[in-house]
Amino acid sequence: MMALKGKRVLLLSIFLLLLAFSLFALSVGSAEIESPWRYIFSPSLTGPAHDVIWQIRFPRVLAALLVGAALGVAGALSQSATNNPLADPSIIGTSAGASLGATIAVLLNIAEIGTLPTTIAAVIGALLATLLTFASSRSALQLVIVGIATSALLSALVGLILTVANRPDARSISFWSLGSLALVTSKSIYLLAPVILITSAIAWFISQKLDLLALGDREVRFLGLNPQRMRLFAFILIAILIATAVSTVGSIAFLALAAPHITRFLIGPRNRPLIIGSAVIGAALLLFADTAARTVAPPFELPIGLITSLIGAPILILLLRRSGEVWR
Amino acid sequence: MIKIDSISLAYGARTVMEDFSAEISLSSITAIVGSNGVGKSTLLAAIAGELSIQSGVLEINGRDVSEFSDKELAAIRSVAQQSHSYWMAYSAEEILRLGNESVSDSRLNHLSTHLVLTSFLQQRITELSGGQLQRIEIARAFMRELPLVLLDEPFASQDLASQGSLIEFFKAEREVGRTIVLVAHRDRGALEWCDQIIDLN
Repeated sequence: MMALKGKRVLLLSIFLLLLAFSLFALSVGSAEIESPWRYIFSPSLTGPAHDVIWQIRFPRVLAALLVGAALGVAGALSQSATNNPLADPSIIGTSAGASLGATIAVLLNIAEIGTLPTTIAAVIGALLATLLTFASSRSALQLVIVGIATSALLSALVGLILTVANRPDARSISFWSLGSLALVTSKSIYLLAPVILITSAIAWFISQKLDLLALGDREVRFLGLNPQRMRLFAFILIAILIATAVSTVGSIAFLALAAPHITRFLIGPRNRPLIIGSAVIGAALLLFADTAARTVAPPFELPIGLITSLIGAPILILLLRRSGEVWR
Repeated sequence: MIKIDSISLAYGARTVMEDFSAEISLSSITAIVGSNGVGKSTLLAAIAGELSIQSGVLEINGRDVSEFSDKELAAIRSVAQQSHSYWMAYSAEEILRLGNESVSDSRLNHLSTHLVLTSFLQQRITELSGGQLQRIEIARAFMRELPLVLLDEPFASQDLASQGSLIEFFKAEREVGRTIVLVAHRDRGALEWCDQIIDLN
């Protein structure tokens, strides 16, 4: 097992690489810009190139980092809270609930994608889905089974609504429901940044307590604590993180499962470092995927969910192979 | 003292035990024995306050077990479960420390010496053998030095040498005043070092 200092150095190096890659991501895109670095390092230079970099690409890069971090943290919380290395926020219906809430709000013309009302609708959807799952389950295992059912039910409702909605913009909604950062503007950042940073900070504070859930529900009760209550609190945080992410960029496949797993393999299961590591790895995966999505075949964009799976899955499989058959 | 006076125990609609009485004195080792399905673990769960009794009286130091809050119970008794699966790869030492953050290093060292844990304390809990995992479970129950320790089948996966060191360890813990109640799956002859044997057959 890696010493604490080694883990910190590893996390810090990944973080520095991520910063460097963020700058690179600002410099590439479908618009041809001559010597983009001049505009990146001197934000005061004006002109169309400045606008492309700082008003189109910059919010998108920031959004990728924030949403990736949110998905990583939410994934880490769901695994710890259910004491199940296979759990991710979609498994207990949170993502589907958020999608349903956001879809209904957009189709009823209450809200536009990426605005506060959509996020509120998504948070309500995610919380209702979470509570529905919790109300019908007593243990971590039941939670996962009931959650899969809730998730299937709510996803079917989203599909049904999008099919019957006779709306010209239904196509863009369904594109968004597959996940895309193309609709992100600087306004989205004002919403994403505070919600994701505050919720992740709270997650970090409570995460040490979530370590106890690794002992199993029975042992936690012997310690005089209520495991379902600890879990519910974690899932409220998950609901907020997922809903904020989903309402801005849609559902992004696999990232919330892959990021905490990759982190587990690198630094182990303790929740405090795991939360920070999953945020960094999640941010890195999503920024990498989004940069690929918008630069591989310009001016077309690839669905980002495809790329997160294309990148995340091989990394996860490689790490698993290297470490033998032990869950971490 | 633990007073058990004509209690009945049930899991849902299935009655496991009826009109059962016993007394367990402080600073003693009591073994609960009996054939499969006779209700040994059920009785242990009732003493732990995990399972409510259907009728009768179950008191710890003169106070009805049902009157204790979860926190109060956690402050007087610990339980080692018979088997335990872990999914997250904490080290064995991290598992020992979870929920026992205030326990001193010297207590941990004492336990790892007497329960023979030292060689695998830094290994991942998911990689331990059944016997090692069980000794970690027993060590967890003794970490916080609570007055009452309940052990479900502590000898199940132990070889003869380990059983011997466990017995010596339990006796030493009794000498410092702890009350130990254990479920055992062995004949009475092998349990003569216990102060009392409750035979449920």
